[in-house]
Amino acid sequence: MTVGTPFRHAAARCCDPVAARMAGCETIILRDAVLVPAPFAVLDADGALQAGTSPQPFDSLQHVVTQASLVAALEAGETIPLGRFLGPVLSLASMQHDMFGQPELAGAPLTPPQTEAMAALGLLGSYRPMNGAGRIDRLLVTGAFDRGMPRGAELSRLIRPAIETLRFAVEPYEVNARLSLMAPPTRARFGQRHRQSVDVWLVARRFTPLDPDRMRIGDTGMGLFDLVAVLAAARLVVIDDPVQAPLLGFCDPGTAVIELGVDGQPNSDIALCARLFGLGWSLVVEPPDGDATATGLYAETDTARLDHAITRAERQLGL
Amino acid sequence: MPATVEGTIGRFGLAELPAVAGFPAFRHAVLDPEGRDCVFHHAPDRSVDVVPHGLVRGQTVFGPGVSLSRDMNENPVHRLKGVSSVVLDRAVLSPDSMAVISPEWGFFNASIDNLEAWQGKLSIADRHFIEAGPDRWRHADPAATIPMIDAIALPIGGIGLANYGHFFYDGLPAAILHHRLLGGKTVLAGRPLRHWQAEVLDALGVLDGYVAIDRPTRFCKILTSDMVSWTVSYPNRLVRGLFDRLRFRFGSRLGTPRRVMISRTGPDNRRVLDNGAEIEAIAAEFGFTVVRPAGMSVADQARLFAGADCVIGESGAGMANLGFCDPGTRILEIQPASFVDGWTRAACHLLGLRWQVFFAPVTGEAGCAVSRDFRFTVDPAAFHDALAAVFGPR
Repeated sequence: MTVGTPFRHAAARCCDPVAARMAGCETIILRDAVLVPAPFAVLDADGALQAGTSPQPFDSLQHVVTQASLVAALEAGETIPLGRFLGPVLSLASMQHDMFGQPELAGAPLTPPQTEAMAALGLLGSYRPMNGAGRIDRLLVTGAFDRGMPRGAELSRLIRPAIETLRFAVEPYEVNARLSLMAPPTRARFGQRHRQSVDVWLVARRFTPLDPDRMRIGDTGMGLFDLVAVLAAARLVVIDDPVQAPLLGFCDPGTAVIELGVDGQPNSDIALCARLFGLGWSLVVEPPDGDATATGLYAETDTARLDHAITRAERQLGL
Repeated sequence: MPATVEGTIGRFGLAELPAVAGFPAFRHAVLDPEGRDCVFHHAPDRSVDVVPHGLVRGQTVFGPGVSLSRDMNENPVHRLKGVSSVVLDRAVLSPDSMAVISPEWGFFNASIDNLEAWQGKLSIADRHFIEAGPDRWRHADPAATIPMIDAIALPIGGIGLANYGHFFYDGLPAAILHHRLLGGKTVLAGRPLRHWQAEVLDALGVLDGYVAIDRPTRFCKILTSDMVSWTVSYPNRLVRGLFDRLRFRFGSRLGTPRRVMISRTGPDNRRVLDNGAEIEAIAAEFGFTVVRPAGMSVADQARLFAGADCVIGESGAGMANLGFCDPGTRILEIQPASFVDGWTRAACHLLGLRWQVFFAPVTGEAGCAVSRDFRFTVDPAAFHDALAAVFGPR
């Protein structure tokens, strides 16, 4: 059961000119809820899914005893891409903390960059890592409400506060004004034929690959604030990974973003993040090659077309 | 030049302080009682095309007037101000002007940089100082004692603090971010708060512990930034997080109007739209609800603008409320030809709003053009056409 009526922070909106849909956002308080840390899920007292994805059956359920009268569910841990954590998840957690009397936060054990971010925002001391599912007396859940789907942290203007706070804590550090943020094959929306050759081509085109999953820039390891500082100094980013799109928020306004996409496979997350953070955005779209339902969806990046988009951006930026 | 020469006080800029590399070192300088005065550079200046959809007459630019500034008509590139923070040991905050004075370095430039735009000189804005020559001042009452507070203070703004727009843009975002990053080991400080200012700080969770001062007061350290001046004119990214947090806190309300026109009519208004009633009637034809935000609580203003898809407003402080609008909201700024500020267009870009402008000619003598007190007229037919092009029928 829920306690009281939901508090509506924002309604869902369509954001022109890319017709990106921004999720609405509301907070509910659940009594006797179950929090499954990974993969993240929240079930209400009746067992109905309220946030995350339907969990696997769990063997045991601990009753989580807390000091705080209220616990906020946090989607964290190694299954959560860094962009998703630092944007929608951490921003909501930070604002929940301010608005609801500093509730305890609970979720999966944090990764090192997640720990750094939580510490910087003063939230680490309130965090309770959970290794298994637990029942919680009063659980706070904040997220999208308007899709008839379980709640979850979605993209909207409310992803900005944590990004802006972390950005404030660095001085831009230029490794390369040109960065590429390409999805690992395990998360790619579509198979890239000759993907390796595209990566090699981007390096030859003087781009440095940034890999937030492995926390590496080029061949060098980095910490969270290195990542933020490097992005803050970037002026041109090539990206095909919507899940990491919130990381673009560390770039300063005016940075040019070139998205690689596939015709007929729309995903507006990168365009929306560019809009939210005042970045330039252009799309290099390739025709699909293959059948998404049968053999998998593939595309082949036309490097001549990508080169044209890069050259245009470089000219505008004076690079 | 030393800060104090024969009882007079000079001024200093960022370049005169040692810069620290990395925020941890800056944090150490702030929190360590022995930490030295220093500067940390958060962000450089950026020059950005803030109207990527172009300054195109009939699409983004309307009205029979043109701006006095050629750039306002032709050049969409706007400066987004960089941000640097300084920590100053045993510094004084003077609440009249919000000037910050270091015993070692003198007046912090950014804290008095806006003087010319406001009152002309420090002695007019601040009863505690008098001019003593070019860029030098002295205490009006050298015998007056300066009280000391044992705290690290974050001034909440600059001289324009009382103005709604300046309050949100000039300094407060950086003060809030420092307060968050330093884990509450600092206090926000400034003049006694007006009701709406207290409402904002309360919503941000920082009202408790606010230090209101009514005379120059010395603190263990003062941590401030160059955001306290000119950020309204040259806004930067840091203002966004402030509005986002307030939006989250205040929430949204069903049933608020989708089309909103901000009215500036009021006894204190110095920029008078001669045919305001006629223009408001045209806006009403397009489904706009005319609002006067000055009499509303900040929460109600936030909820009102959160629900709007389309906003019309005259250039000025009321446009600060655009920070509460959702990205994608269409904006038509009515800009008198003599009012050359470009901050609204830059703020719209930073906030993801779609900006258009209607230039309105100023009535009366040309000589009044640089003044901020003038009258102007909006051409009704051109205004009707602009609304049809920008917003379409209701």
